[in-house]
Amino acid sequence: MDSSASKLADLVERYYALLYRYACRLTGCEADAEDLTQHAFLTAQAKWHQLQDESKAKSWLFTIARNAYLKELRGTCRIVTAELDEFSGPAPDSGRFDFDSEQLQTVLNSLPEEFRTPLILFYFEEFSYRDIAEQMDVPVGTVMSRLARAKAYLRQRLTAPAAATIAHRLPAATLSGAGSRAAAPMRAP
Amino acid sequence: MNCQTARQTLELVRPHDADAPASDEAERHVHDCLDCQTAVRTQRELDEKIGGIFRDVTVPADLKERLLAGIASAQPAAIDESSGSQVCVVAEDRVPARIVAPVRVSRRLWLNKYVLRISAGVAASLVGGFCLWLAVRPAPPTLTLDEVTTQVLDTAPTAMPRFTSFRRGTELKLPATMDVSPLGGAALQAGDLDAAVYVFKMSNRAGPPIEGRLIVIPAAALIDPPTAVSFLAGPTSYKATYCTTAWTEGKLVYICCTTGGETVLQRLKRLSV
Ligand SMILES: [Zn+2]
Repeated sequence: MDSSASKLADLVERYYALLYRYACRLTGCEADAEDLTQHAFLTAQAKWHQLQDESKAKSWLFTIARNAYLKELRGTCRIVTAELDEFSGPAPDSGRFDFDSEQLQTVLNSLPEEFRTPLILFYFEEFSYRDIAEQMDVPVGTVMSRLARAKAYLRQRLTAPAAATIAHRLPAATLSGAGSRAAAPMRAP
Repeated sequence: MNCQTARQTLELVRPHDADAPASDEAERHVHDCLDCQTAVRTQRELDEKIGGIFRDVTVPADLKERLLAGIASAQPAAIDESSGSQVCVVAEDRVPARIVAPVRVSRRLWLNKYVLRISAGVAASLVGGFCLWLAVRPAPPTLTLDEVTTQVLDTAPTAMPRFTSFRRGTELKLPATMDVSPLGGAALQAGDLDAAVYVFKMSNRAGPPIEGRLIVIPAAALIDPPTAVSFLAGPTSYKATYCTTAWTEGKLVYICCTTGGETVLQRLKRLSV
């Protein structure tokens, strides 16, 4: 086994589970997540020579996965809403956090990818803001701005009983504007 | 700092992240604001729950092995530069069945590529096939019956080599509707034409011996093969000192040319009845 093959195997060993989890949250379904994970490693193998700094291999791998998702797989997994509402909802009430993984994923699926990705990566606690910004090729301030809005959206959808019920009941594709108010739509800056 | 700014600031604070917003001012606000204390505490609980659920994804037990096997079987090559996408193409026949079956991404991603490649391959095959067809196809007819007759009659038999075969592959046959007893020797090659020529002589009590030529040429080589299907039915025409008649039998066209006028030709026809 040559050096790059060995390093790639090491990359699989260290990050395959994390990448799969990310892919699962990003795509919203397990089959696509596995596809994306496989694809990311195969692409990494094919483009190994382009990895300048091996200390950034993890970020590079996630960037590959996201790019593949955006270019090849977007739309295959029942996602995404076109617009979101601006957050101005009430403060969360801890007594109403009775959502499960499926409900959370449904709400996540209703987020446009440019909001979904920073949210997932933020909660994974594996990447710095700068890492996320580099993966998304946007300024750090943009990442934080999107994150704040995405978190507010999530909070509103998961803590407002009616909205959460709707999110749970309806397919993700119908969530665009569900529970929306007449506020400025949420768009990526 | 107002409540919303304080809460949003604290929401984005991450320990050990140099780019995270400074939290001092927000923390001072929360310290003095009961509403924000509740809200921030609740948000942290929510974050904890969401983070926990996000990370709680069951990874397929054999995923790592399949990934490693897929990598081992892959041929890193053929990056799709045209679309700029980072796509590697794996030789599908080298991917173990266990990998090929569940890993649908490769299928889906390859699909676009393969559709393009198959299309290109089909196009190339069509072009190649067309070129091959051009190379081997029978040449289209470019000569008329009259031109063939003229060329053959203008060529001295002594200048004609022995005929071997038609270039189009058609088998040389003697006509079935004509008495071929006058034909003596072997067929000759009619110059550059894809035609055979029998040269014959017939005695003539009334004058010099009659000279005749039977031209045999694949019908496909003629722009205007004759419609007559027998020697007897062939119309009579004149070419220089020759009287000719032409007919088609199967894939071959026969042109019988004789000196001595139409009476000689009629005599031959009578012999052929
Ligand atoms: Zn406050």
